[in-house]
Amino acid sequence: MKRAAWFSGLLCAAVLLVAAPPLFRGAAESSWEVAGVDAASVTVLTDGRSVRAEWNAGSGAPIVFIATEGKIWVRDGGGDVELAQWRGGDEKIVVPALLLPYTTTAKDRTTLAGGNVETYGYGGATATYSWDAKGPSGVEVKAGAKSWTLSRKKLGSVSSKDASLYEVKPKQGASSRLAALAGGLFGSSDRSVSATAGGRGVEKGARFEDGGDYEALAAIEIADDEWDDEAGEELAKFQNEGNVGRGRGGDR
Amino acid sequence: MFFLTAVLAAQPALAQWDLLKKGATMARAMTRDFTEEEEIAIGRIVAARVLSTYPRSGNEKLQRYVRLVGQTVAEYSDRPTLDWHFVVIETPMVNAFSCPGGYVFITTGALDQITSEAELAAVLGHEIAHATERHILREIKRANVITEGLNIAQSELGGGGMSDELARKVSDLAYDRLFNTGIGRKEELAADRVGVKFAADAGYRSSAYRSFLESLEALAAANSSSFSQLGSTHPRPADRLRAIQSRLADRGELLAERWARLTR
Repeated sequence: MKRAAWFSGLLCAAVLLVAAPPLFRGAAESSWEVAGVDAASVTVLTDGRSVRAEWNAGSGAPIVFIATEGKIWVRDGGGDVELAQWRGGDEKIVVPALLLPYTTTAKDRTTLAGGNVETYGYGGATATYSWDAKGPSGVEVKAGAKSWTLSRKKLGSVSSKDASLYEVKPKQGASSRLAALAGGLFGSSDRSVSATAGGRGVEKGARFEDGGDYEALAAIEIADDEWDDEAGEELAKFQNEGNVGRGRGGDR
Repeated sequence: MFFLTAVLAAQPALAQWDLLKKGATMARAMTRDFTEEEEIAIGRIVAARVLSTYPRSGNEKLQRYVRLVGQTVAEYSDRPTLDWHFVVIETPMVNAFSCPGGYVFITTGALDQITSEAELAAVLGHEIAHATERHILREIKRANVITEGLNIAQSELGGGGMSDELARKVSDLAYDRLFNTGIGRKEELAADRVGVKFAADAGYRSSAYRSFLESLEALAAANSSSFSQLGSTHPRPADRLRAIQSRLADRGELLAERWARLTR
């Protein structure tokens, strides 16, 4: 009996570790209407290996999400940033529901029904999928008191096979930008000092003999870089509790 | 011009071309605005100077709280994608400093005067506004120190780069503006106006800024030594309050209880 329980526990764990199945089989292009956000829509392209989603809302440029090689990226000013580091609005919650098999974190979980994804839990949100003969036809996303309904408007073959659509160009962080500065106008006069930051104990940025405490500054920059990795969740919780920032559903 | 002609005449063709290219780059650099990268580089010099004057507070709970409030307000500023740093520094002096490129400092003395998160948000909003409006940067530009730096770079022909000497000039100038003379009345009032808007857009009650300015006014009236620095670099708090009064509103979150809980 004990052994059976142990075995079923092991089986459960094994099931949970299975990667999320893809929403679309092979290359496909689909468009989705989003109820819950004014005039918002999402276009999803996949070549079977990577997924690109473009969120359109209002008259601004679309927000581009690229899921590839185990990570989800968002196109930001100056380059692509990882989803966790990006402070978005509704789209940050809604779009990942269309990016499976790429998940927002390794902890995300999917349940299956008839070989298709039935639910997907990620970062405080849950997506519930409905299917028709062609593929996924609708997604209900819920996060706290908010919910969004995505309805498929079109699903067919991809309009472009351009591989560069799925190319990620990571944004240079402050540390990388500082590294670039080393050779420029504001580069360090001390060329022996690395302008890159890697982690604790690594010197960061240019230093000058000008009376400044660059040691203390580097410690702050490195601590902030490390905090940035987990900032999204902590900041969201902080804002929700205080009903400030995005916590009150404000736009930015 | 005669000098340039003479120099060019003495150079082989390729070297002349390099020299011309370098000269054109320098000329562009002298007239253009600073790029964000340059702004951050200048900000680091100023921030390092602030940190050589006052140490970072070791109260990590407070540091984290100030950072969360600062990031919340910064998201609603004109430059939400800048890499913002919010740092508490240890001194009874009531003050806060903004360096170019997103380095914001607030003293423990200033935090002692604050009674709600909304007040903190407005104070940080003021500093964020100095950075988004590029006030210190404009001072540095006005003083032509960087132009001089470019000349230094130009004379070296091969290298370029910020020298220790130039960094010291930037640092001294910024230090003088931040700690002695101030940036200017017009800029301070503008930072009040813009900063209160950022904080209000983030959902904070802007009328909380009134309490902060009133507590500063009380320090000014009492000739408190902790206010002397702020008094010499900013307009009188009562004047600031008069100027901003009509823009302060009672809607939004005050969060006095969270402030008390997280700063105890």
